Amino acid sequence: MERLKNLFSGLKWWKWAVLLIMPYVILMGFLVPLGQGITSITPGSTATGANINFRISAYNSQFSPDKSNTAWLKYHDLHLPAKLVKVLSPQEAEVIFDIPVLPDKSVKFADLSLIINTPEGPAVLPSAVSLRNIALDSTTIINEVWSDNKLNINKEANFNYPFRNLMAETIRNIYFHVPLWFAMTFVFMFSVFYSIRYLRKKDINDDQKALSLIAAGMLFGILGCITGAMWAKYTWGQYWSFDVKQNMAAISLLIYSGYFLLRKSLSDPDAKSRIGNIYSIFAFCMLIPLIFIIPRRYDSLHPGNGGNPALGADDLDNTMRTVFYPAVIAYICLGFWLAELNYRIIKIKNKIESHETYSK
Amino acid sequence: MKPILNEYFIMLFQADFLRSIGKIYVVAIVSLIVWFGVAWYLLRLERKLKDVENQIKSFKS
Repeated sequence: MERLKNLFSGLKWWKWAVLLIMPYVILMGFLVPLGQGITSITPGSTATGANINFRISAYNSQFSPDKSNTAWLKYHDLHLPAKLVKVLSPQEAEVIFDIPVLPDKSVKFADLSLIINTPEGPAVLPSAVSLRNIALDSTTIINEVWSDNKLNINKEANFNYPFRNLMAETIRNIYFHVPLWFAMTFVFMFSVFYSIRYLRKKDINDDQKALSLIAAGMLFGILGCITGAMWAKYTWGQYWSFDVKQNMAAISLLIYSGYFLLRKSLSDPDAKSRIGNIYSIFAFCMLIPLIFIIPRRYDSLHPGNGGNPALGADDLDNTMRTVFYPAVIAYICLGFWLAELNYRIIKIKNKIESHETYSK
Repeated sequence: MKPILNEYFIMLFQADFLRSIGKIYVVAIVSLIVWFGVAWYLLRLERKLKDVENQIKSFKS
């Protein structure tokens, strides 16, 4: 008991934050289930006038014939209710539609989304069915109409993460990949603070604080690249698809690696710290446009690019926020912890070396 | 015991293992990468600390 007390005594609050929040993030990240989602629909195309049975299979769903299930096909603001939702199994169902002509006759082909509404909540498959919009002959009579009334969709019944088709369970990576970048930026920001303070006051401790913060930030950046590549392989199809944000992140990491090269290549300790710190300030000034501005000006596979700010309601819903923001805090504190350990070791080392030179 | 293990390995090395169960294993790998990265950093610190300790030792003797 005494040993346990010693282990935790004198821990600063941000280290406690790492110790307490990390398990929360891991537990919530892995254990909270995903909401239900539709994974496939057959047939994928149809024409107006058809009375058609779509067979859908779903993920994480609990379809039950005893409960009231409804479904719609949606085209922009218009929607068409299903005549019948026939549940085959908890993960499979048949939805039957009579499809009338779209009001806008000029549309030749329309991408319809499928919405299925169950007591557990809704599930949506975007661009589920491609509809050929052709005029009907007089023999086919369809009573259904496309309407633009408000849909009655049930609220999500459980605490779930949203289901996105391409991502499925990998949406949980938001808690393990994205905070790495947040932490990297934050840690680099503090390194700039210490770099400036070093250049003003010439206190060698500030230089070493900046150095260890940059080392920790680099670790997070490299990990961010690797985890991002892993995630990309199974969602975008390639480890490295030369997406703007991927490239720019790699470039900014290369710029930062120049900081270490510069320090290694200079032998004079004073020049080393001075030039290194000037370089790190410029490196941070490059990081901001490279990661936060340029990718937004171009089409990117990353969410929130091409003009829209990231982390809007489309990318992160409220249930995810309850885990994501603590994760960011925990990662930032972890970065500071790693940097601080490094800094303390460097400091002792310098003390010994100065002592040695003094005693010689 | 053996056949179960066998089946497990077959599952592990099939082409679409990482895509099974909604790609959940991708998340497992990503979190493991983060852990190994941090562990690698800690090991480096460990080595640095060892150097410092040795320096102190040689200094005292």
